[in-house]
Amino acid sequence: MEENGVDLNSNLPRNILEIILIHMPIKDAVRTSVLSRKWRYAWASTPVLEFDVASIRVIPQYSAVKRLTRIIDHVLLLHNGPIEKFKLSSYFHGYSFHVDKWILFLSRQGVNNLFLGFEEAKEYPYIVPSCLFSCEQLKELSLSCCELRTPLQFNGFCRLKALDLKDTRFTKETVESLISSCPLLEELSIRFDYRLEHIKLHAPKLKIFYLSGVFDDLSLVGATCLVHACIVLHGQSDLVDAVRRRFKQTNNLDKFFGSLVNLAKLTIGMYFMQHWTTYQSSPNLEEVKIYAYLDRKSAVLYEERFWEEHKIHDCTFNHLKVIVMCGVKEGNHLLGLFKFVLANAPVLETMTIKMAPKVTEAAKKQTLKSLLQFPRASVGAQVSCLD
Amino acid sequence: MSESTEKKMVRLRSSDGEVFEVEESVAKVAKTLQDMLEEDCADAVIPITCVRAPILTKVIDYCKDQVMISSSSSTTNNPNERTEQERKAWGQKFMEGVDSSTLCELLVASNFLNIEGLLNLGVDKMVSMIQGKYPQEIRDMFNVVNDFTPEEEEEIRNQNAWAFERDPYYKKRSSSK
Repeated sequence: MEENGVDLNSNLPRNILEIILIHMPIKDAVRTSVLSRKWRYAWASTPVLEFDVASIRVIPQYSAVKRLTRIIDHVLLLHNGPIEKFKLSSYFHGYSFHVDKWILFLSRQGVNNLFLGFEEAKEYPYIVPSCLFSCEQLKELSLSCCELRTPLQFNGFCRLKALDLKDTRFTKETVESLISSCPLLEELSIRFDYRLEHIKLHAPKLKIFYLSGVFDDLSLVGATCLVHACIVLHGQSDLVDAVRRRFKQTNNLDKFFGSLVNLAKLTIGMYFMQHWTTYQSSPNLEEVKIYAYLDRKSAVLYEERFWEEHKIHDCTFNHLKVIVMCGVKEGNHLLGLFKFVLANAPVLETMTIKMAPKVTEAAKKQTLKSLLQFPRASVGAQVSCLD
Repeated sequence: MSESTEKKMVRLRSSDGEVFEVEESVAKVAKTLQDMLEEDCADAVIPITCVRAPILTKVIDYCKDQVMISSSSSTTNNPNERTEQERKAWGQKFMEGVDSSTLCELLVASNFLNIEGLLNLGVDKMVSMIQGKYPQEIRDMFNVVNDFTPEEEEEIRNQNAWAFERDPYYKKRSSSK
């Protein structure tokens, strides 16, 4: 070793040591306690704690969960100082009373970022305890495979900026009241696979919105800041089919697409195309991604001339730079759309077509051949076809 | 301010007295230097008191690369633009062969000069060097003096027994040494 070698802890500033400990798995961080006296309790004030059942290499899984539970109890007991972020992954619902206790502890520590991820358990999801709603310092909350019930006494999450609810159970009323109690919310991601009626969300600061589920209609009140939206149907195929058919007949969602004034990036399912192209009012749209996955039963078929005959706002594609289509089959019904976009997007940079699995080479070539023949408003536009 | 097209140069002096001349844009990758230059409180030669010449050379290499990437990023299809993957690979290559004491000095330098990207690269490297190692290996690597009595060390190990149990990964890493 070099003569002027640096002693890891006497020469490194405290904030660097902290960053190093934050980035280490908790097990390695705790192990540094044995290095020297200066290191002994350094790990115990790391403000970021992450635990994952998958990191415990014990079989069967419930033994791993049991072991992780003991570890978390131990770490929280020895911890000294504020906890900014707590993340628990692939936990087992059977030990939920421990989680209740940890959340209460964390709520008193003023936790900022809380991530609770459970193994999927359809019949017995983890019911989020009421003490979660007293974590008033929360800036980021992520729940997966839980059940959410807002308590009567709830003052709102007045600092919350990001909320992610994945495969979590809630009623329409719960989610609506929860979101309207988060005045600063900027990022919202909701995924569920059951059917909700008309979802009405009030989120005036929202910038990023991701919704995946089965819903009859959607209203986003006052979301004039929204720049990135992703709206897809997801769930049991019969539920999705029923809703798709309804969308075709009704003008649900028209209002929603009509309200996205500042949108720059949009991801939608093909089934929303008609609503979107007719009523969209996003003059700044730069990037669009469309999922075309169509099964025969519920296919929304568009004749090649549909896009020309259909009344589409002139400005629809004025700022469009990138368009991506996923899951394209031989589909002549999509060629009309491609033709329309190429002819009406003056600043288009790339159009990418991602073919659905099992599409024959011949069909791919045919699609590409047609694409290359279409006139383009943007001279520099690149068109590519991927598997 | 477009008084001349000639690039403005800045001089930096390392702790061991070597003077480096770099373009202002390169120096400004370091937030600390950027603030000094913008407030116009920089001397003709800026002393970087806690950074030795070999370390400063490496830091400047990093800053030059950052300028190269960002110089044309406003236009599309920038040939220097990197994907997430390329960035990772580049970072790994940049840190390749950096030994533990150089790494500590790099961390101190990037912290002092406030270069977030370099600090992150250093921290990642540090974590990969420490992860899965026996305590004695870490002590050897970074000159940490064990000031515990054997009894005390035993006590700490027992207190946190779960962290010292070997998992398969831990065993494999250590036995390959």
